[in-house]
Amino acid sequence: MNASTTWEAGADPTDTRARVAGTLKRLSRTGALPTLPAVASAALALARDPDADIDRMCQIVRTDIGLSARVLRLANSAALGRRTPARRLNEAVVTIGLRKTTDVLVAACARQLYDTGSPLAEAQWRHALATAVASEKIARASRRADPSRAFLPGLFHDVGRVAFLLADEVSLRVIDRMVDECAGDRATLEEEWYGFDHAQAGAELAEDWGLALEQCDAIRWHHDPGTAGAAADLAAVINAADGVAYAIGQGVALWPPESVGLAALGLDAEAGQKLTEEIGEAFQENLAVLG
Amino acid sequence: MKTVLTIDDSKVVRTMVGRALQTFGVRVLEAQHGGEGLTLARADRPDLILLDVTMPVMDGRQTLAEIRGDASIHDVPVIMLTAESGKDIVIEIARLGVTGYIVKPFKQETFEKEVAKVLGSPEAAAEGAVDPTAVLVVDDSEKVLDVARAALAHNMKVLTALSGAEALETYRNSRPGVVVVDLAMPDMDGFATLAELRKLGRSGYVALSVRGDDAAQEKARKAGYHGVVGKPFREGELLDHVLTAASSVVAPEDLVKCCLGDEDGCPVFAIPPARVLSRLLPEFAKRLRSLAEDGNDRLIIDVARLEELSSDHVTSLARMLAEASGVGLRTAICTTNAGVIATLRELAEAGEARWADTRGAARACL
Repeated sequence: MNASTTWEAGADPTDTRARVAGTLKRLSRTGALPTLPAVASAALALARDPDADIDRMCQIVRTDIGLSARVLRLANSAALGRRTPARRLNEAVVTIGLRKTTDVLVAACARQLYDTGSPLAEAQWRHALATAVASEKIARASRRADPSRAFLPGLFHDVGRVAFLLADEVSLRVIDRMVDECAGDRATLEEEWYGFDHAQAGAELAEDWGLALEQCDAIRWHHDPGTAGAAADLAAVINAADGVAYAIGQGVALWPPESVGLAALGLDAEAGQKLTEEIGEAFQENLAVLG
Repeated sequence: MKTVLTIDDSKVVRTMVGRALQTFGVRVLEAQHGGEGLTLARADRPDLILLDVTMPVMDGRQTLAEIRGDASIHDVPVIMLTAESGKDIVIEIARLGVTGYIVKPFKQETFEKEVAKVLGSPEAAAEGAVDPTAVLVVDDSEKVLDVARAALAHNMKVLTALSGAEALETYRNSRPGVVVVDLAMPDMDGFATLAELRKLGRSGYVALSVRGDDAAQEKARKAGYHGVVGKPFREGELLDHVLTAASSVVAPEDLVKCCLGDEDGCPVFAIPPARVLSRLLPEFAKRLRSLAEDGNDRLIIDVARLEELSSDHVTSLARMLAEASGVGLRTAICTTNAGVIATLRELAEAGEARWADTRGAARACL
């Protein structure tokens, strides 16, 4: 980890990391941090490997029949516009692309984190997916970040909140209510209670799960993109995507968080409106595939 | 009902503590810093203080030292709240004498386990809750009991006992919010009775003493009585002391019930002492809204037993009249005191309130 870009001046990253992990473990019923299934970790490792190829990705996907079905379904969706349906997994992976297949695998695995039966967790999942879809599209439209690296930080931008929710849903709701009632800003309230905010917690989890450092930094600073150093552009994209998720009805709080907005990323009002509509449609397609 | 004082500069932490304490059924007081916490602790003498280590103005260590150095609260159990990174401080503060510490953020189970060391299990703590609307009067004179009954029955459920031993039995069965005890009783006097009562639960305590016996009154206050009334007493005087003592242990929403009565279907608010009244105003406003929603359109404010009005009374009455007018209640003020009428005339006219000598007359004029 590059400490100069990811930690505030003067803070000891090891200490902060241990504090976040220690607190989340202590609050958790199981005494462990939330984890991604092994298949997602394998896909992320493959995505980092310069020698990755289609066959190895297909081997990973085949370990889970549900994932295979999802990848085929996505390859044959209208958005990807194949003339003839993909019937074999390797055709589907070629159609989708290695990087995008990784995104789909990780998202399908991450879905399990939100299967708690809580309506709040369900809303959080839809918000995560909407932000992921929006991040990719905004990155492409604005050319401010590599679109192929935007989906996962969008998906995990609020995963710190999921960790809080899994540890103690009532405390999370207390803070949500205080934010709704304007009793304080979310980051401050979380800092006062947990000792860190959800963005910090999310970045730690994402790093544990094998996301790239720039993606982790974008998660850490998604409410304050200007502080993200080398990841500032990606963080700004995630920040704007967070706002668009609210705009398409996939928010998780009464008030949307402060957003840099699409205009700040060089998209005028008309382009922004068109993009928001596209994001709404793409979100529904992804939701149909990933549930 | 037991009382817990939380001293923490973070509102979110105080909120979380309040939520975690719900299972104990206790009354929760909140302070934002050590200075405010000390003031509340001295006024209410809580059963437990939850004290944050790191605070501006006066931190947890300084506050703890002040608590331990104050004879009136030095023995109140204190549990420290500390951040994960502040555990090292615990060794230092342990020397000052704390019952335990809780690391923030905490899980409910961890919190309950630590707090139960002081309050008992949540179930036991809830069982120990007092009846906020009941008052027990203990005196070996039937005549005094009759006078007390007449003075208090409009506002509270009155229980009586002719001896300390009988009082303990009644207390076990009824757990009244306030106990009024004669200091000079045969067999078990007021001091011995108080000592035994405090082993059974936490109520507000008022002593009855011979008027003018300053030494006995001072001794009673030191022993833990919230107030002392000299005999013979005026009706309003006893009620004022009972309500003041009740305010130390009873939540405002319960205390306001003790001030609300009824005059042939017309709600009556009997004015409590100024110190109690100012605490009750937010709750009073809620009750007025409930009364209006229930179809009431009249309210009698009974200030008959007040001989003079403090500025706090006047301020509070102004708010009450405005609140009543705001929810559409017609108001009559009940008093015969010319001085009170003169002081309140302008307020009453602004709120379109009427005047009456008695509650019956007040109801009739509305």
